[in-house]
Parts: sequence; C-alpha cells; structure tokens
Amino acid sequence: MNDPPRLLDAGASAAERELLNAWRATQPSPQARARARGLAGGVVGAVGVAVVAASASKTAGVAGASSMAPTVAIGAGGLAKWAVGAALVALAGVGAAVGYLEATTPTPAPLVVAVSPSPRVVEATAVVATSAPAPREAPPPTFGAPTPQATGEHGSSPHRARPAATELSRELESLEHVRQALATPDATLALSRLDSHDASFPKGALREEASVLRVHALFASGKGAEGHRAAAAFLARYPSSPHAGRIRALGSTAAP
Amino acid sequence: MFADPIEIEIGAGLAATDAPPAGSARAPTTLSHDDAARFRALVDGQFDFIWRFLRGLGVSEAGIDDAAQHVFMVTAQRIAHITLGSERSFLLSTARGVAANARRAQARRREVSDDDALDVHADPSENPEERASKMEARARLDEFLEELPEEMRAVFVLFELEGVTMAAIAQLLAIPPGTVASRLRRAREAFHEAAVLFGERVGGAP
Repeated sequence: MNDPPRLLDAGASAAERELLNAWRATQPSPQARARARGLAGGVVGAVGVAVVAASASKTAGVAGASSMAPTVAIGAGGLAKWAVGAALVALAGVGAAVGYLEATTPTPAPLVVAVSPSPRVVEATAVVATSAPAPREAPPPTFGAPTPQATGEHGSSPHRARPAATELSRELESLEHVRQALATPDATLALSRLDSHDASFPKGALREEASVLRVHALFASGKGAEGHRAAAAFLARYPSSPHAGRIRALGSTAAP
Repeated sequence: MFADPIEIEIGAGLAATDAPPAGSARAPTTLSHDDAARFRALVDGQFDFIWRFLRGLGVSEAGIDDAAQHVFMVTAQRIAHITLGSERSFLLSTARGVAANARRAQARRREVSDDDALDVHADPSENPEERASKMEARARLDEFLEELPEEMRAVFVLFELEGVTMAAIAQLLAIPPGTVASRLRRAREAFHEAAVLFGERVGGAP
C-alpha cells in the first residue's frame, strides 16, 4: 500500500498546519508514566486486584476467592483478607516506580535511595509480602527531608535531581512504607504512617493511591464505619479511578 | 452505594474485536518473569503512544491518566494470552474500548472541556499570545476529533498525528487496507472543513 504524504509533509494549509502542530505538544506527564511503570513492577497485584473486583461484583464466591491466596494473614474476613493482600501487592509497584524514576532521572545522585535496589527485587519482595508479613520492627520512615542514606554516599549533588521526579520518588517511597506497615498484623501502624504521608505530601501526585491505602488500612484495623466513609469519599472524589472497583468490592464485603 | 455495579470494570471496555476470551481475566495469575519483563517493555515502549491515542479518541484531560492506567491494567491481566507481535494491536483495541467507556462517563458527568487543552506543555520561550494561540488550536483540534465518527478518528489520529503507515493501521485495527484509505480520505475532508472554519475564526488564511 502506497501511503499518501502526511498533510504536514505536503499540501496542508496554514490553518491545517497550525491545528496539526498543536498535537505535537501532547504528552503524558512524568507522573503518568511513573504510575504505569509502577503497575509494571506490581503487575502480580494488578492481576489480583482485577480478579477481586470482578469476583466481588459478580459472584458470592468468597470461599473460592479466599482459597486463591490462603496465605494472606491480614484483614478481617474471607474476601476482605484476600482483597487487602492483593491491594498490598498491587501497591508494591510503587517501589518499582521509585527505581524507574531513579533510572530515568538524568542525574548521578537521586535524592531518594530506593526501598529496594532494583525493580526486580521489589517485585520479588511484593510476592513475598502476601505470605510473610513484614516485621513490625521495621524502622519508620522519615519524610519531608532527605535521609542520611539518601544524601550520604551518593549525595554530593542532590539538588541536580529533577524536582518533579525527586518529589515523586519520595512520595512513592513513603507509600511503600505504608504498604509495608499494612503487611503487619497491626494496621494502625499503616494509618499512622498515612497521617505522616498526608502531612508531608498534602498536594502529592499520588493522593489517590494514598486514599486507597487508607481505605484498606481502616478496614484492616477494624474501623469499618470509618472505612466505609473513606470509601464513599474516595468514590465521590475519584469516580472513574482504576481503583474504584476494588474500593466498592471491599466496601461491599467489609463489616460496617 | 456499594451495591452499585462497577462503573468501569477492568476489561469491560474490550468490546473491540481481538481481545482474548473474557474468562481468561478471571483466573488469578502470577506472571512469570518473562511476562513481567514483556509487560514492562510494553509500558516503556508504548505508554506515550497509547496515552496520546486515548487523547485523540476524545478522552478528556481529567480522565486521560486513569484511562491509560486501565489499558495497561487490562494488558497486565492478559499478557500471557497476547500473541507475540500483536501487542500493539491489543493495546489499541483495548484503548478503543476504554476510550468509549471514558467518553460515556464524561457525557454522564457533562464535563466541561475548558481544561482539555491544558496538556499542551508550556514552552518557556513562548509569550502569552503564542501560548494562547496554541491552546486555541489544540482546543479546535479536540473539537474536530470529537465530532469525527470513531472509526475515522482512529485512522486519522494514527496516520496524520502519530505517523503510523496505512498498512500498519490496517493490521492494527483489523480492517482492510481499502477501508483505511477511504476512512482517511473522508476524515481529511472533514479536517479540511474544520481548518477553514478555524482559519476564519483566528483571522488567518484558510
């Protein structure tokens, strides 16, 4: 098939050219790319989440759903346990995204040291998280300022990092710590870290993901009424979120 | 409110033709390292293209990032079932379904599209008039794409805006080459008319 020349290459009028050129500046934000890359890192969880959403909305197959991941040890009640576990793995993708941001940030000294040194390692950690909750004694993260590790060995020029990528890296790392806390038997630790996270990133790019974690943390800590309120608020604010189905499914199965 | 059905269920947008069987999305799957690596390569290589394609199909600025996430979540679900070499076709097919869902949701919410031109990235060297002019052009381009029938819109976006060859478009959209040519011709006619109106509005030559 012989292609005709593109309009921009031949024959476009001035007005046509102006319209077509307007398309050239259309690009996704770095945050959107990072989110997708995070999804790649947590792809196991993405699959699990989708299954939970579909199962919860279509069937009453709680026993079947639970048997798919019998090792998840948090949450309160059949499908809710599995859903929380799946969400944890999904959000583990943020760790991978941290690695991605560092890899794509054109500076030798990223501000944040990744939770794990590579996306592949993070991915392995995510899988383990469903069967072996992280130890509770994991040190709480400090947010709002670079850690010594972050600026020490490699920190000769942290300010050369692209601000947007650096901020997002810190935000991703913060959420990764929340996720780790959610994998412990005490979900209140996750709530406490979420409070710190919200204070550190009041206008963060990942507020939506933080809200998802909060809903899960509330249900997992037995605060059903608050969980339902948070879920309703989430759905009102993000009605077309990719996480909306999961939030609805969790809300429909969790105790009030 | 929790009894409501999922508004945009994962995979629900796959009305388009070459999606794998719906049942395959229901089984929990742990991706092999190979599949995970393949998926990451798809994200790295195709995310921007799919994001722009969704935008070209009329997904609003407010919903574009979620829509792109949907496409790649569906792809993650089904990566093991996607034939090697047909990944891009799968992505486009999924994107068309997701875009259709997103557009219906937009219509329900009666979103205003005032912000839809805002994803024209600011160039620091531009003066405010140049930037306003670009935003105006972008808004008119969106308007044109919005009014174009979906089947012509996909061909126009892929050929004129994304530089995909006609043979590749025929393969990606699973339509005969002659259909690609006729849709492109009709889309160009509509584009020419839209450009004339745009030229008259901004006072330039058509």
